[in-house]
Amino acid sequence: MTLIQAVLIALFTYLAWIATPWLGGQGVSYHVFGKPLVAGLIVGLIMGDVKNGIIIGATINALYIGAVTPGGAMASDINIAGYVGTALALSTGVSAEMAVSIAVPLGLIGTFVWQLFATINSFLVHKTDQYAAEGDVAKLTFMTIGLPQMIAFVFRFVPAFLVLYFGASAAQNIVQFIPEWLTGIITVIGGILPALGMAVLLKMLLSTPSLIGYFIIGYILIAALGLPIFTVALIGIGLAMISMLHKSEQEEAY
Amino acid sequence: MAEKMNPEVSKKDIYKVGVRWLMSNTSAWNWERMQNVAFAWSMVPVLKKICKNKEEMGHALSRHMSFFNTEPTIGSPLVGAVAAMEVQKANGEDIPDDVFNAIKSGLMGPMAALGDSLFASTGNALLLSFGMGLALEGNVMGPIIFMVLWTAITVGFTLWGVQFGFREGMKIMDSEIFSPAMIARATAFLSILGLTVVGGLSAQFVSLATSISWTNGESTTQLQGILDGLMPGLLPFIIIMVTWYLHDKKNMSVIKLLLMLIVIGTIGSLLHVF
Repeated sequence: MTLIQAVLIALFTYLAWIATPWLGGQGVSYHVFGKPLVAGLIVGLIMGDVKNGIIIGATINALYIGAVTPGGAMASDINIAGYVGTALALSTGVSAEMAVSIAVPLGLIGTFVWQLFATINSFLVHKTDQYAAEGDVAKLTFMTIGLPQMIAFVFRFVPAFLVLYFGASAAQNIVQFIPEWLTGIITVIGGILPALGMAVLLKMLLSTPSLIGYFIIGYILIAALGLPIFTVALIGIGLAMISMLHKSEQEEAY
Repeated sequence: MAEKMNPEVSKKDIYKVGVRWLMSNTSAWNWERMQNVAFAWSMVPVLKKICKNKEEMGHALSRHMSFFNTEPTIGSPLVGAVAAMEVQKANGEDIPDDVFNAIKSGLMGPMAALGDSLFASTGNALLLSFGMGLALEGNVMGPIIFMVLWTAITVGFTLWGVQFGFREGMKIMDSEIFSPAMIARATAFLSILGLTVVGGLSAQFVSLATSISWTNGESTTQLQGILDGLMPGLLPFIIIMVTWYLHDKKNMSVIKLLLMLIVIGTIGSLLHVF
């Protein structure tokens, strides 16, 4: 990986973080640019392999599809998993399943950055109290998007850059020496881990157990019939209309 | 009398509040009072118009340094509504700090619940699933469609929501879009659509095949071949169902399930089951 590639990708691990305002705050940075799907596209563009980038990004994303941050609790740093995971996978040329296995530990380590950041902010907020009470708008601005962002930049950019710039060639060497039985294990694990993302999402979506019927229909449409996802989405809209709108029309009719 | 004191808070000022809230809501996030710094900072464009001196500004900013946390997009009308209360207060209405705190803490919870469960998770996951499905087919439009649509929805709703909240003031919770019936219908619609897409997505992303085979005389039978004859993708389906059951019905944590899947994969692979 070249210096400029490592700098650009590390920059995105900062810009697309949940606490970074510059791309549009949590709603855009975390929920759009922070998703491994989008990370796959951006890393693919930077590294000149868009097709494999988006496939790897999407596969890593499957593991984290149900990840939300209610009340700021973060189970996994999906941004690091997406950007650094995709970049390492592309530079070593491993399969998408193996990329998932690379991304998991990265994502777990990344959560400590968030916890450390929020802890430092908990000290800073007392200084901010003082500036707020003085009515000092300039200093309040500094304490809102100035100082925390300097800290965030150091916490995000530096470790990501080091891992990418120095880790990529090391990872390349390691991958060459992985024995076949270990590749087998990593590939099987990478194949079944996305089941976790799906399970979390299912728990969230299943307000009543009978709704699992729709999941089964969607599964069969692709597993057995091989329909494109766009077609499946249209079938989903059709099913939702029949179930919801038909019911309310009937209610109105009586 | 009111004319003389009425501050000139324009639509543009509220737009600035919206932009500040959109960008900063998680910037100075802390364990103690969460989004409070961002909330206070977002009020500045309005407070600059209505506070006559630094002392007044100090009082107003301190008022908003109290605990605040909500889902930032769906919670945006609350930011506008509080800005409207500041203007009312500047116009001479007697609104003590307690009332500000009561209204903020009263509405931030329901808005966070709605935002987290319907918007940031279900809605986002639905569009994301769709984009992921396209991406796996090698289609670059997958990430692009997701990026463009979700950015437009988030930025659009936040900027509109702050204006809406400012116009409606404390009436926001009575409005149609936040009514329980409306929310229930939207949730049910998105659930059905979401489950169908997630079902398809599961088939694309979870993969597992058995390598068990046996030889009977001259013919070798592959177990996977028999399973495919029953239903393609049967093993991934079983894995998803078991994981979901343990997570949802047995309350097993994500970390435990992660370890469980790693152990299953390792043992299965070493014993040449998979």
